[in-house]
Amino acid sequence: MSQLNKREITKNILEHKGTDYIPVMLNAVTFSAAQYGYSMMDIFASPEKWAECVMGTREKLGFDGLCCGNYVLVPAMIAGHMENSGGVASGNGEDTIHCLEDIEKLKPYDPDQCMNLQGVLKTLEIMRREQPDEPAYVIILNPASIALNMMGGKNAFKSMITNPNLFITLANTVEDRVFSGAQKLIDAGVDYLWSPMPNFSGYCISRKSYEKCCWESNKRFNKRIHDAGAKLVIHTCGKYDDRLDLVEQEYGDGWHISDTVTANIAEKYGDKVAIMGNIPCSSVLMEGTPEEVYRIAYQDCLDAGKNGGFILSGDCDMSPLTPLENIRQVVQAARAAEKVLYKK
Amino acid sequence: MTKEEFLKKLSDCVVDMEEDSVVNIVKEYIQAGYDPQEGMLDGLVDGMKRASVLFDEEEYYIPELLVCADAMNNGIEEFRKYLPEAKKDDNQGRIVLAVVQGDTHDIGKDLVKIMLETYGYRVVDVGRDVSSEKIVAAAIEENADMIALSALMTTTMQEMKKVIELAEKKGIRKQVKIIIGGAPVSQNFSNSIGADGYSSSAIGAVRLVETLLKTT
Repeated sequence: MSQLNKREITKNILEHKGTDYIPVMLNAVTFSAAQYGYSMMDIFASPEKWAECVMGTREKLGFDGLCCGNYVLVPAMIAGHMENSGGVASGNGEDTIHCLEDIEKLKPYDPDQCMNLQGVLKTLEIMRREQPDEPAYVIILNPASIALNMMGGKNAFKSMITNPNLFITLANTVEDRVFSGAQKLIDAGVDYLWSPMPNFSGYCISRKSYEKCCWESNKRFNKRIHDAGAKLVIHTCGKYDDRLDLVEQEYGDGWHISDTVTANIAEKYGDKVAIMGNIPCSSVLMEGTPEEVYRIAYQDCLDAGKNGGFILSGDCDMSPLTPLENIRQVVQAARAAEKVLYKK
Repeated sequence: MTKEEFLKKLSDCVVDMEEDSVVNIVKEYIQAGYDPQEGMLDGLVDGMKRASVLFDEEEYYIPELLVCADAMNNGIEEFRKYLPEAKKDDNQGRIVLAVVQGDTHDIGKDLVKIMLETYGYRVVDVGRDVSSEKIVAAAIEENADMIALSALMTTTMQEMKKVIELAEKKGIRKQVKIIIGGAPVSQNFSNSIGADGYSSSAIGAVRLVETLLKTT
């Protein structure tokens, strides 16, 4: 490994400066909790437990990077008091916005009072203290994803056809609130924010709906993150091949890809963004043999790691049922590929 | 307008997502003296089947399909006023549908529900993030022919095995088929947990249900 520590290496990758190390960063929070016998509720409620299981699992299996938490509960803070479609106070803010008038009932948001955000910051603090050289990232929902959540998935999808103005107005309204929390994470020194968009892929909505309802908001919010000096990895979860030209303009420093061919993405976009991925979490990482995992992981490295801008990962969240040996094979594949790619 | 022209118009209302004007077309159809069940099946349901083909062909996506379903359901609600009581409960089979515990992704389930109802199955939707106990209890209470389970995360799909085990424990496994679906689920996984079948798509689920319930 080079003289740089892993945080510096990750920064170089996301800034397209090239490196001779392929970090292996697995979305492994649920997996890690299962390793320690914790439920997700257990670790959401306790930064100490979250940090314990994520750091411990990473260290034991030899992969890189630490997920500090999910910054996703803005809807609960601003709309938890509002009724959902069932006529009861939602508590979590989901399915509460059904018309423009509902937007006027949203509460202000104070990130310093948000327990979700404070918990994530606490977890980051613990991780910096215990494993200071590991890159630390936070999962963040962008305003369009928040809007979908707050309208309820079904109603939000329908509104993209029948009333796109409602969806767009809601995403615009929550943007400042979401960004205020993101700013706290940036100020605390998170290495990157990781933004998943599974509901806007080609499994769910057309390119036309994406462009009309999500794209402007994504560009604007992500640019604010970029201008604040932070790094952003966009998780293109699902089928995105037909709209990557739009995603290209969304200020992502890296793309965590899925449902696509790594070599194609690397060839077309590898000089513009860092690539992360792309081992199928279910069919390969969880169900595959160790040999199959190694082969696919190794090939991903060769396909995307030539210019030193690649982070090896699964294509999404790793199942708690993933065999430990398969994870070890991923790490071994990265180390072996480095020797070939960078003549180490 | 002839009956065929009306049926085409009803079908087009669904495909074209005319969720409001479909009701007026239904009223005109009834006033013209034509059979309501035929209007439902050969008009509205035909339109939904056309919409599902467009979905398979990636011309329509989830938003379009949901609005088509609204148009179909608005029309069906109007037709039901004119159906004889006995016809209102006609169905090909009774299916309990659920997203397993810990998982709140329900759009896929909703699409499957739309498709199954389109093809004449009675669907009891018990919702999302549903415990195995509640799913099996619903199947017993509804005298279901089948349980259909959905999971969208690798972290929740293991709950499907619990449903199957509980169904065995409660003594209903032989009478009730269990099928599964969802992005991380596979045929291999289905085989490994002892499910009766797996489908990767909503329309595929209909074909699977047709096959399994025909053989019982």
